[in-house]
Amino acid sequence: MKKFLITAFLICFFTNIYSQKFTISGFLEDKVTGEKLIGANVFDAETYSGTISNSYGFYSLTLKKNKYKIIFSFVGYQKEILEIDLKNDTVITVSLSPSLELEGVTIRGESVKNIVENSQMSSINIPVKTIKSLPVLLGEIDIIKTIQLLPGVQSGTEGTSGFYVRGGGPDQNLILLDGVPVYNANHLFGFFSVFNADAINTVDLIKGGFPARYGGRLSSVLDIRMKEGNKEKIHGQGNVGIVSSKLSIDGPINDKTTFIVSARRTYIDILAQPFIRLEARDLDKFYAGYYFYDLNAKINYEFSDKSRLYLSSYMGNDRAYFNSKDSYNSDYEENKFKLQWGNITTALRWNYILNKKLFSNTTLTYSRYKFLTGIQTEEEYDNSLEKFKFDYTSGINDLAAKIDFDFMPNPNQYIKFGVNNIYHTFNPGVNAFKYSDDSDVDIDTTFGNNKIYANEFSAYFEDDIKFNALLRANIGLHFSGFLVKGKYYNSLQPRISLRYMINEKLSVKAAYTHMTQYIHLLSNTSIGLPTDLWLPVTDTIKPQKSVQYALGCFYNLNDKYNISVEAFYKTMQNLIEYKEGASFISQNDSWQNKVELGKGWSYGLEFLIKKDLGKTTGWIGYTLSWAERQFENISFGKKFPYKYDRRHDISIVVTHKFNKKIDVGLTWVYGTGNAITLAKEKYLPYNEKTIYNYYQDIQYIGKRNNFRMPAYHRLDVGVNFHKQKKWGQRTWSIGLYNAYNRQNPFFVYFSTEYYDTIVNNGKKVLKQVSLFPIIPSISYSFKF
Amino acid sequence: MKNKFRPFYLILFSFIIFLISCEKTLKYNFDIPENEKKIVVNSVLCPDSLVKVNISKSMSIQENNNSFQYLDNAEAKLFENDVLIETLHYTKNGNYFSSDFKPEENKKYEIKVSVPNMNNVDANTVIPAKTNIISVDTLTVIDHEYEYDEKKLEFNIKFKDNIEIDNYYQIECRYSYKEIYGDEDVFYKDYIEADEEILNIQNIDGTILLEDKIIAGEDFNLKFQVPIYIFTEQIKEYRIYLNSISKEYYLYLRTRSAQEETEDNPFAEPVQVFNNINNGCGICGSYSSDVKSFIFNY
Repeated sequence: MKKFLITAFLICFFTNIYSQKFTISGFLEDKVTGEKLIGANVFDAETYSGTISNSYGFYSLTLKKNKYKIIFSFVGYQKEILEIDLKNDTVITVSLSPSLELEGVTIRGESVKNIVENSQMSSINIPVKTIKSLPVLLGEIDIIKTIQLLPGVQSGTEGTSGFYVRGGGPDQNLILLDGVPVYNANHLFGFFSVFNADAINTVDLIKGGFPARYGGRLSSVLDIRMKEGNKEKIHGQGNVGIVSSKLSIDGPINDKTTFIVSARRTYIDILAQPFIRLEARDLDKFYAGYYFYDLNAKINYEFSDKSRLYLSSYMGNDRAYFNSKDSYNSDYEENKFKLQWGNITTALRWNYILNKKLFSNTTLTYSRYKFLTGIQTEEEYDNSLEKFKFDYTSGINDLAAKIDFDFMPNPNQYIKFGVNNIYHTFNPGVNAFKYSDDSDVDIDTTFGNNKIYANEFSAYFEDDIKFNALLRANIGLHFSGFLVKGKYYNSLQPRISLRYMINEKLSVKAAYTHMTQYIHLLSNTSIGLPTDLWLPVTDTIKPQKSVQYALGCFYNLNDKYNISVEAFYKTMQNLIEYKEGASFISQNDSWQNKVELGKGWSYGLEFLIKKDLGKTTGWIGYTLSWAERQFENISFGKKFPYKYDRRHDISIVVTHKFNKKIDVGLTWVYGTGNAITLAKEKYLPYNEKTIYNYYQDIQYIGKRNNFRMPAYHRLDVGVNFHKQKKWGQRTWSIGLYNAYNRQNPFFVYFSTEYYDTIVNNGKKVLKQVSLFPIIPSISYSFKF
Repeated sequence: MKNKFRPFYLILFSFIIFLISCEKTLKYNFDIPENEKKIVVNSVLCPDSLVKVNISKSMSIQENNNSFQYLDNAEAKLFENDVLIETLHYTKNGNYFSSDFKPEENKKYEIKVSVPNMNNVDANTVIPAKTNIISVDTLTVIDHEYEYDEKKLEFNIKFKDNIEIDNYYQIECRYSYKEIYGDEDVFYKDYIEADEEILNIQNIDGTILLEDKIIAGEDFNLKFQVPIYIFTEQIKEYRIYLNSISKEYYLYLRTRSAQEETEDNPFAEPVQVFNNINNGCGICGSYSSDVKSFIFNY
């Protein structure tokens, strides 16, 4: 197999070399803002040979000496046609003008064709504009909640921002912000995600057919790229909502430097403060509250046409606190409590164009997730002082360096290769305890798990090859290795995607991918919480592996609609799950004895019809899928449905622009109820001979996840009113979350009903708790 | 350290309660027809005791508690190494006893139960061989953990694990004192706990459970403490039991306790209690004990 691949690569390399050729290269930009255009098309109008711009807007097209009409096009922009007499290598940076909203007709076809023609399948790009125009919970625009509306992607528990792709777990998503992994993308116990849409340029989700450049997670890649900042003049935008307010400013610092800064903070704590004080007026001092904030910043510097430097950073924190003091004469008692968690990510990258065909990107990144909870008390009683302090921290730190190359030898090939090294520091939980009183013995101790250091490296090579007008393939290899505590694992992961054009509107694609993941997420609840721990593989806990097969049909209907049907089959190995009855991780490495390794399967069909341009945009997605798990000692070794096994999942997302002043958004989702474990029968326990022993009845559970909660469905609607002002544009957004007030299940439990009726007296009934009723929201946003 | 997350969960729960829109009763009916209910067999055998099997009937989770039905019309047969020993006789409260037969170590026992109009059930267990206690040392210690100093009695139990086979152990402590209104000694269970951080040790129902994975072939020492109560003056005897328990019984004790622990947490995964009754529910396990006794005169 290896030999075959190498030979194939070599043949492809050299076939086009021996004729005189020149290269057109450069960057593609937005004419108004100067933002780089990612994934824009560059092609010869006659032969349709072409390429697309990379993640930094760079393109390179090598053609034979000749005269050409080169077309530059991108969704939502007016295309640019340049006539070029190609006699030598040419560098052209092309700026495209955004098309007026209602005149998208000219380039409408291009975006639709692109999806049908490229070799990548199981991938969706969501325009930030769409994300912003959809109605959302409490008016908080949320990228991950929009991702949840795509076929093949499931939301977890009601209202939360976790997502589950093609039957995989929440730890199997590689969430990249400007190429840096983000470990916990949640605010407020998962109800909001950390990404601020004002600072985001593009959002791409890949569910299968992963190109070789990605690795380290099994189920998906969510690649989020931040904006670079307006090149022409200072711009700002902001939003005042019920939950939070945010402000972004971007623009040029000088000819060569642009920046963007974007911040968001919630203010429930500030608004609630008077009420809290009122409640606690008997105490000397009392503060309590909760807030989160996040901050995105990026600065770009252009050394020359060939060399650019980017520094981007994200910082976000959630913090809950209380602080109280009560005194009586000279005695007092003071209590402090804090709980906080957050991420910091930083990326320093340097783009350098080595030559017309070879683009390099060198990146240094830092990513940190930290969870901290602390309790502190101080008590003075009869002139004797006692102090107590306890802190618990856990988290993960990554330092990484990588270098990636894009090589475009000819219009029929796009080669990417690179290496990446990540140095992980896992902190599985450290306790710091301090105690002092009037006695001589003070305690100041730190105990808990030692930090675990690990090194992960990878190298990849992929080639996107057009064999002929019909057949195109992306063939690649991803190699990765992981070294932890003297134990070494590695894996070689083949990645193949094929596309075959049946006719110019219809293509068939297939993909075969292997993925390996060296880190596990230990979670003791069914909802994602900041206490969840990331841990590396060990001697006994092996890396997670998956193999995915995907097959799909892509059809372009009237140059307006993309219609796709995809089938997938995925197997997963070495998934972890707590052993039956094992509880939260304790203070040493024994966690590996508390979990069990098992297998998983998922398979299904995804249907998507999507329209990106015109007055009405949006999509309809439907997923029919199965997801199963099997562990030797769980559920007596029998296969059981995964918690988020969802047989049917429907989402309808529509935005419609009536005119420049009013647009509306609507989403409706439907999903089969989550699978949960529920005892339907009970029996008597064994009673030992000792006296004073009393045991509860035993609940008989035949199989894990044996019960389906009621189906989930919800309608959200929103209207945006825009108005042009002297200083810019303002928008009022009014929304209704859960418009028909569906009581969706959050969890169910048994409760005993007394005196309901005589017959029912003492009978247990199943109760359902729902979270969000109909919730109206209003927010004000502005742009200047 | 379980408590360190308590404030965290408190905040989470209060936040959730704040958002909870409503609670409603779902119209699910889990009634089970009488003939589909399961036969429940509970029996834990030990050498030197009569065989006792308790037989009852499962019921729907929705039915009123305390109305479990004991089965008095069952036919319960006891087999030793596949040879029928006897049909157990019924006394009361679902209990069936052997007439004078007492099981032995290292032998396989099978119980077959049939009840008219219900599925037949069966289960088996092999009684583990007794592991002898090498020694139990005692020491009076002062615990400074709390504001007041607490006097405790520390036991150090030592035994040798048999490397040839997988063993599961349960350590128990019982004490007796003269009943004021009677002459007979009554033994009460004293709740003991050991450091759970030692691999695979579980403190369950006041006893210590452990697997031999970590101690294979070695002498094993384990320390545990019991508080000396004010009324300890009356105590005259402590008994330390080392039970070699069958794997089934070990899993049953562990999972039963885990089920109770997670029952009230709607976010925790409910635990399936180990069940080795074919076609039915319950436990058929066994153990054999060694015991050391201490007389204390305060």
